[in-house]
Amino acid sequence: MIIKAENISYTYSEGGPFEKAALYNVSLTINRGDFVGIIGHTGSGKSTLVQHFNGLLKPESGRLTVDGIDTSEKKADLKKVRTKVGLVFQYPEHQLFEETVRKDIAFAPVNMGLSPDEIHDRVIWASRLVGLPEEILDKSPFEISGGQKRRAAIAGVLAMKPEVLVLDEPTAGLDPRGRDEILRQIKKLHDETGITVVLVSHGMEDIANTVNYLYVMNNGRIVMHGEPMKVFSRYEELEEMGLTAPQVTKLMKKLCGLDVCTVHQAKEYILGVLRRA
Amino acid sequence: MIKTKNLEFKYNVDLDPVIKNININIKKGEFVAVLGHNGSGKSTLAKHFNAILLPSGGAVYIRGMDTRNENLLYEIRREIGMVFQNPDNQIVATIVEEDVAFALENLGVPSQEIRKTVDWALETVGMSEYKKHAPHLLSGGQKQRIAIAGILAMKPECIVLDEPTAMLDPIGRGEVINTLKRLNKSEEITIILITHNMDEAVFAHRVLVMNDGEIIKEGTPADVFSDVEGMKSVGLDVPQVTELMYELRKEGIDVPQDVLTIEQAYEVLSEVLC
Ligand SMILES: Nc1ncnc2c1ncn2[C@@H]1O[C@H](COP(=O)(O)OP(=O)(O)OP(=O)(O)O)[C@@H](O)[C@H]1O
Ligand SMILES: Nc1ncnc2c1ncn2[C@@H]1O[C@H](COP(=O)(O)OP(=O)(O)O)[C@@H](O)[C@H]1O
Ligand SMILES: [Mg+2]
Ligand SMILES: [Mg+2]
Repeated sequence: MIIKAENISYTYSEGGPFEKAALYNVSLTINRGDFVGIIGHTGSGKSTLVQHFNGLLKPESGRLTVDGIDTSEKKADLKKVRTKVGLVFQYPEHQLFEETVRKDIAFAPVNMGLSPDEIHDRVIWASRLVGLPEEILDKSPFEISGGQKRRAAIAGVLAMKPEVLVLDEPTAGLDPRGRDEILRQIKKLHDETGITVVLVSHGMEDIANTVNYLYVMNNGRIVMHGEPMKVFSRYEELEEMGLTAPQVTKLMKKLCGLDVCTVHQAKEYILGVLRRA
Repeated sequence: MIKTKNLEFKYNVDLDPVIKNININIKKGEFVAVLGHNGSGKSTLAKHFNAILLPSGGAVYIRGMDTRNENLLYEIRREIGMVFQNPDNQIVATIVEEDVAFALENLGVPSQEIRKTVDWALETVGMSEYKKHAPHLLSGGQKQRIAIAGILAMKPECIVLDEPTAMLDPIGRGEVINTLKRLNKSEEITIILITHNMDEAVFAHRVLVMNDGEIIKEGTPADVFSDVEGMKSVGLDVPQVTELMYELRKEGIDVPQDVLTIEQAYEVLSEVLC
């Protein structure tokens, strides 16, 4: 196991006039090599939870460990935690601050003290992976489109080559091909290298197509978890929590009470029925 | 309402134009969706509608007003409300309801009326209970809804929304889209919606597809999405049920291609399967 949360709670501005409890007794275990999804309505605590995974936030009660390191401990090596766990923030602008996109993507590799060749290779590798063309690399991150910024932010974290990749709504603002392509590349990276991936998303279809295990958050708590198909089959409950299921899940459930979560599964089922008839 | 003539724009005189040959005519009361790959020029085009950007070539007319005429700037911006991609840049006050009231206060609207309008706008985006909160402490999706409320409060003739739902959860998205539909239908506000979410474009009267700075296709959602391969070839997608029909047709099953919603798919498939 690489990340373990045991009964963690977190409150913003504790004691202040805008005190806001964001997590209540959240427990979860993420094993090395998992591809985990997290869904939940806006404000349900997803970003708060994942910011605990790299030690950016520390639980107010409970315990969070990353590869055995308790992030609350005084002597905890948080620098090590941050090189193990790469977090792509929900707002990519918060992550881009260098003069050029190239320097932004190179930021972590430079800090890690890698050789110029290795830095160059990683920048090229990461920008290809997210589909950023070379000519964009020498532009200012403030003079590129929204989706290009998003890709640059993802590339910057990939270039760290972390053990755990945490993506907080990475596909918001990406065009459909970019979204599918980046998720496909991350899935491939996962399958080939065994990197652990945590994907927070409002795109139920993206989640259904990629993750092996799914957590559902509601008002600061984990309220459901399991295989995506099992979770999505309970879409009526999900809808009560501000969520939904992929279109094909709802269609096939209504049509024949069947649990599917991808277009491919729906097609195979329908073809099967027609062939038998 | 909005008309462009051979519109062209360059961010840098030495570089190629990022949008070109744009000739569109959007009528009052229309609901238009704009689709296109990242960097295709959607935001650049949208910024011409309220004169944030001025054409490098050609012209943009808002109800006949040329956006290059500086004297008309105030009027143009009253006609066209904008909701941008990043809600953080749109938040100006430290309390939600003040943020939504900001523009009205600047216009000198009586405070009784401001209160009513602000309450209505917050209600419409489902954020009433947060009206005393600090907007910068809200989560991403919540901020996005506040930004929309601020524009709604101005009751402009036309609202241009640049990916307003990108950060919302499915229900939040639905609320915003339903709000836009309602504003379009009962208030006759012209809506221009830029989105990467194909399911949202299904509700438009007309869809414009951009590719590398040009409009390469326009038509009803059924027309545009029926061309599954064409959409994919420019980096776009179609709703899942449309894709399912396409896949079934490829296998020789006789189903229509212009299916866009779960309800339509249900009807078609219950006939085929039963
Ligand atoms: N301020 C700027 N200065 C220079 N070039 C820019 C600037 N903003 C955008 N561009 C470039 O102009 C082109 C069109 O960008 P635009 O933001 O209009 O795209 P978009 O269709 O809105 O993309 P997205 O879907 O990613 O939001 C892109 O190639 C982009 O890199
Ligand atoms: N920096 C902050 N200060 C105070 N409250 C916050 C802050 N960030 C988030 N919150 C609040 O905490 C709750 C959980 O937010 P968040 O973790 O961002 O949710 P999600 O990512 O699921 O949308 C929300 O009610 C939100 O308003
Ligand atoms: Mg979040
Ligand atoms: Mg844009």
